[in-house]
Amino acid sequence: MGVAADEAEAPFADLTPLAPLAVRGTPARAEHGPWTRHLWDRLLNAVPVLLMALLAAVTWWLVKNTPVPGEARPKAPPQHVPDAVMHGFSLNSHDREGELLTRLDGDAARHFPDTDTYEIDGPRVRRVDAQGRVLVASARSGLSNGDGSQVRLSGDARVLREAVGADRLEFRGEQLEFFTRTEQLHSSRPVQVLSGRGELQAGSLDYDHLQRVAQFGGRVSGVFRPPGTKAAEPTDGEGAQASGKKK
Amino acid sequence: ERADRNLPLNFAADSARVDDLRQVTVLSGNVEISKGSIVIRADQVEVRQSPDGYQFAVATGGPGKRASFRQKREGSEEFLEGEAERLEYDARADTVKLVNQATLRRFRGSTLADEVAGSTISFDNTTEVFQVLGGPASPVASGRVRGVLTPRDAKSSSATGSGKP
Repeated sequence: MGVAADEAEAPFADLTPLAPLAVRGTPARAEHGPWTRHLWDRLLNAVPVLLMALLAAVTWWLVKNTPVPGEARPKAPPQHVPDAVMHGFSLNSHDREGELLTRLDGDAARHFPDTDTYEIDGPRVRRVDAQGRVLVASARSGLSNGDGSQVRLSGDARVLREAVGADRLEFRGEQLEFFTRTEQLHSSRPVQVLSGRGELQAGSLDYDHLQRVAQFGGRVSGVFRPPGTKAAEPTDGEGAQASGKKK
Repeated sequence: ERADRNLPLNFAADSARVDDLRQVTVLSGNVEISKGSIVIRADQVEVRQSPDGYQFAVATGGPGKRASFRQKREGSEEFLEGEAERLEYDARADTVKLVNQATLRRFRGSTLADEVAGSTISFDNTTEVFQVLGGPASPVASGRVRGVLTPRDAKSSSATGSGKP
């Protein structure tokens, strides 16, 4: 086979030898191409390093922000925001024997945790006292403390002591504070009192239902109706607007 | 028969304390109560309501002042004015009792006609009769009664024409 090799050599003599395909250690393409490729290649080499740096940064940030279990986060300042809303609700409070003492109804109520108060739309309070007398209160809006022992009635506020005939007593005012547990009524705004025997207007009121004594301040005026005349029954009923009595 | 007793009793005062249980209303500070032709002014008036709905008022003048009452009929220009340390007005009997340092004057128009003074004067609003009693608390030094009564002259009596029934 040897002799064939020379002819084999001769015809190849005019060919130029190719560059070696890949030589270990020197990048094959690096030497040829514009400088941007050169930069790009450097960058590619840097990518793993960048990744590692990013990873380290993230873990550092993570450590920084994880809350230390012991450290108390600053308590958010209590905003006056309701945490519970009730519609068409009824709150009943009973005495030890289970007798119904006070019942608070309303169209809607919003409970505010920061002041532990209820804002009530259309409150209606019904309270039965020890002697079985019934006190009924209503208003356009009400503000009651947590256990309903104090209800501030605002807007056409009325407290009516239900009784037959002359014993009937109704307090009306722009704002009445009704202390349901101690059965007291207070108002520092003008009030009107309608009873079976007459009427009275005053600048302020303090009524203690237990002793059934009312103290009126500010200029007081009123009338005792002569016996026998039917007490002018004000238009009753839940929200009926009573006509202002022109004396 | 225009009895004042069936008219409402109006009242006004600086403050009032109403005891609903005993039906007692205590009015204090510039108090004025009026019923029909009678108006009472005092520093404090306690109005008690009897079960049948009539009022009984006790008016006191307060320190150094006397309670006063005035009675004026519509249509007649005669009117009565009385003062005493304490006035007791019984709305059912329609009488006013002036107690301690009591004086009662009757005016015709603006002229003073009659005047009496004594320890106690009681005036019946229906019959328009008043009775004067002497006693220690009379403004008259001797504790007796003193009075000046002016006869009604012809002109004025016919004018008023309020002859007694």
